[in-house]
Amino acid sequence: MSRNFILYFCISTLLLLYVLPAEAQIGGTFGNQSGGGYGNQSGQNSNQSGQNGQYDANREPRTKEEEMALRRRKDSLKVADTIPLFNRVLIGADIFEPVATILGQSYWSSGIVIQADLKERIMPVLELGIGQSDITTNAKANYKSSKGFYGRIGVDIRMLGVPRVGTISFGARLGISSFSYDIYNIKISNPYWGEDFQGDILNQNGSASYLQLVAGARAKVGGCFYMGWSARYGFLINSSKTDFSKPFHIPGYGINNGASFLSFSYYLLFKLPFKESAKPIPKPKIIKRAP
Amino acid sequence: MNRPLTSYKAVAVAVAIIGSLFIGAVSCTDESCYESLETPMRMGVYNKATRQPISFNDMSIITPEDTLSITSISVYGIGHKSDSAIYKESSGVKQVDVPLQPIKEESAFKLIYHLEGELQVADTITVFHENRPNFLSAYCPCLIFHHIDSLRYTRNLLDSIDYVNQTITNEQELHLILLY
Repeated sequence: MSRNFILYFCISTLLLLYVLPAEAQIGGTFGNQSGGGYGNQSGQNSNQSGQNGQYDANREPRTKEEEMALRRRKDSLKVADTIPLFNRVLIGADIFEPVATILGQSYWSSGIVIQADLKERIMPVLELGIGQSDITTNAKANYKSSKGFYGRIGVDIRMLGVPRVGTISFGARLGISSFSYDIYNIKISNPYWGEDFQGDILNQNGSASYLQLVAGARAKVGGCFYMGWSARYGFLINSSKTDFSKPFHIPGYGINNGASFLSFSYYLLFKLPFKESAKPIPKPKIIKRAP
Repeated sequence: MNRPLTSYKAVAVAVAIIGSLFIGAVSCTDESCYESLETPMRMGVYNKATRQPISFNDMSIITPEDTLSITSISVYGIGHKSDSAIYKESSGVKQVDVPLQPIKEESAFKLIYHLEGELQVADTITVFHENRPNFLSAYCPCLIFHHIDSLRYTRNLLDSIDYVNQTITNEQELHLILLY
């Protein structure tokens, strides 16, 4: 991977993440309404109920009627949960590896991602895509795979931020892949007998399943457009082997050379036009206690 | 209530640094070959009566005149261009590893037993096998795996040969046992 690409990518990521809180500060919405605002309202409510029902060691124990009246008062002060279960849907494309192949990487996987937003906290995701490779091995053979398919399903949990502005999240994916590959120009030398084998290994079919741990960030660029990136740490659960080979590149996972593989994704996302959940939180109704 | 911008800047910088480390890690993939690159046919030396592993040095030949011990063995590939020995007067040998032909489907070996008094006895083992190229990883060279179909051998000192595993890979397993 080109060093310049890494440098420019880091700078753009830094700018992207600087824009996230700066826009929120200008908009005054970062962590205010559904996130911190809801928490603040709840805090006010608990302060109020605390003022009305402060513990007094010298006070006589409440009667049953007083307890029920206090409970009814508390229930009336609760703020209704205005965040719907199903909030927004984002659809986008992973462009990192196709761009990396322009800069010299010899394999790629890319696809569409569909992510929903439940309660602005839990974000189930479905990723479908294709992958391909054309790798020259250390022994100068040529490992070439046709377009294999992958599917990944998982969930992200929002840790920081507000979904309509930007978030940082952690999650996991379960993936499966199906692919085929050929290996050309194999040369095997035998130093004792002095004979060299030359040939190809063709029509190899493979499949694999894997688990990925994902950490990522996503920010609203403007309008309905979002950009985001994620780092994935993948573990192979199962990988097929034939009598002649085992797969080297697994679409959706990466390189099969050990127990795990670290990969990266960069997304361009578009929010589908569902109704937003940003309703103003109603002011709590204050009930004055009868003298 | 607005949260201070500086805390989010710190988060943004931290996430950017972590992201950059991830990018750096992605660019530094491990290109080492972790596979064994040898595919020898491994033959263990066993006592026929007890079926326990022994060394060639544990064996003796009883003649009408004397009892002679095996001091060492040599192994040559028959048809090798320069008659290079795989084992040359090696003592204490308990198992014999030999490479099979990568293209031809027949490999023959001469097993010479060196006795006391510079006497020699020899056995010949011919292996009929299939060859199969195998790709392990882009970071490793390809190897030839074999499958043993049948054997032909002389019985000057060797009594018999039993199969343990007829598939020869780079797993360094026992494939045949030579019974004496």
